[in-house]
This record gives sequence, C-alpha cells and structure tokens, in this order.
Amino acid sequence: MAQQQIPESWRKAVSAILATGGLKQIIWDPTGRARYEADFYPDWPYEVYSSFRDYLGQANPTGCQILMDHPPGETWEFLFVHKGRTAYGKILLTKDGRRILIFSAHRPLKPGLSCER
Amino acid sequence: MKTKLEDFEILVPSLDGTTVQERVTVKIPLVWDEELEQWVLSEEAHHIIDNTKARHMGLLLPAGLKGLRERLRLTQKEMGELLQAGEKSWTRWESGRHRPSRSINLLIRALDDGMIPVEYLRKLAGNTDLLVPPIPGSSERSLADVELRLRESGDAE
Repeated sequence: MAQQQIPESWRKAVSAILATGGLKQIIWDPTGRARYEADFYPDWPYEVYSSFRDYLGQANPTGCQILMDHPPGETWEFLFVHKGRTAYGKILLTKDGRRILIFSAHRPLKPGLSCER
Repeated sequence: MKTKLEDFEILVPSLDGTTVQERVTVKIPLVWDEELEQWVLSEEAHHIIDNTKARHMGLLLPAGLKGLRERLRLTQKEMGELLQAGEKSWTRWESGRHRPSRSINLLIRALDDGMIPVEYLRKLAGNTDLLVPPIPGSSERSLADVELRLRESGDAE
C-alpha cells in the first residue's frame, strides 16, 4: 500500500501543539527521546518541532496511519527532513486533540514506511 | 501518580558538533500516563537531560542566566538588547525552553566572568556604527580600536 495524504485536521492540530513548545502538551516516549538524542545529539528537542511543522505545513504531505489498540488517539508516521537529513517521525494525537505523544524523531531504521512494506 | 527512575544516556557533542565528546548517564523520572497508558518522560526528566547536556557543553544554565541578569539589575528586555539577541530569545534561555548557542554562550560567560564590561556592550548595542566590519586589508579591529572609535564618537566615559 502506498503512503496516504496526512489529514489536514490532524496536521493542523499537531502543528498547533508543536508551536506551543510546552512539555505539558508535547509528550515524549522515553525510547523516542533516547533515539533522537543518539541520532541528533548536537540538537535540542525543541529544534525538531520546527522540522515537524515544516513538513506537516507543506502542501499534501504523506505518511502511513498506524492503527494501534493503545494508546488511544490517531497516529501517523512519515519521513521528514531535520537539519538537512532524512528523519523518521511517528506522532500520536490524543483523542481530545490536546496533546501529542512523540514516539519517534530519528534517522530511519528501515527503508520506506510500514504501509509500503 | 506512578513514577520510576530509569537510566538515560546523554551524548555531549564536540565543539563543532560532528562527534560525541562525552557520554553521560543520568537517572531520569518516568511517569505513568493514565490516558496514554504508557510510561512517558516527565517534565523533570527533560530538564535533567537538557541541563546535564548544557552543563557538559559549558553552557550557563537557566538559573545562572537569571542570576547574571539580576546581578546586572537588568530586565529581560534590556538583557536581550544588550546581547542583541532580543527579549524573546533571552526569555526562552532564562526559562530553559531554548538554549543559547555555544557562540552566544561565550559572550554570556565573558560577561558573567566580568571580562566584558556591561557599558562596553551597551555602547555597542546603541551604536551600530561600531559593528561595521573593518576594511579588508586593514588590521583586525582590536578592543583598543573600538575604544578609540567610541572616544571619537564622544560616547566614551
């Protein structure tokens, strides 16, 4: 299956939360933060927020929706560019649309996204 | 709220940011998020990671930045103007939301150590003519050159 367009409502909600930069709204998965640290050690976490927003703010960005039993919410994975390097992102938007959970923001571990394999 | 401590490895970048200069392991608190049904990094965990990394990079920490500003009896706006970084940037550094670059940190450290007089920075901030780069081929501008230009402009003490 090919990548799909990431819905505008999801993109807008996620971008708005990323723009706040607040750690009450932007939650990190421990492994996600560790992998970000390992791959982008000269950078601070807030620096990836603008890279996420740049990608999600493009015209028709694509990715794969991840269907999971939990955590509850809507999750998308996508490839984006951070500091000139391709990166893999995976973000969950909670059901109430008030918080996001960053699962991943690191260099791709596999070629392509899950829906393409 | 359920919490647990976990090891976290921090990679401290070299000066040019191309290699890892040092690896530091710290204990960070994770919290169980009922809504997300998983362990997540607490705000404190982020602060521990970021402050440890900043400290090992030689950056002044948010408390140090605030202390410096208070010692100089300046507002956040004045401090931002003094460093020509803007109030927003200074406020973000002081709150720990963002971190100063290594280059600006050098300037802040010099100010903190009393190696650069506040008056000197204040004059530079208020006199953009002093920031004009030297003419190519001429000798590099020294502090003495700047002082001389300050005197010529009649602003020197």
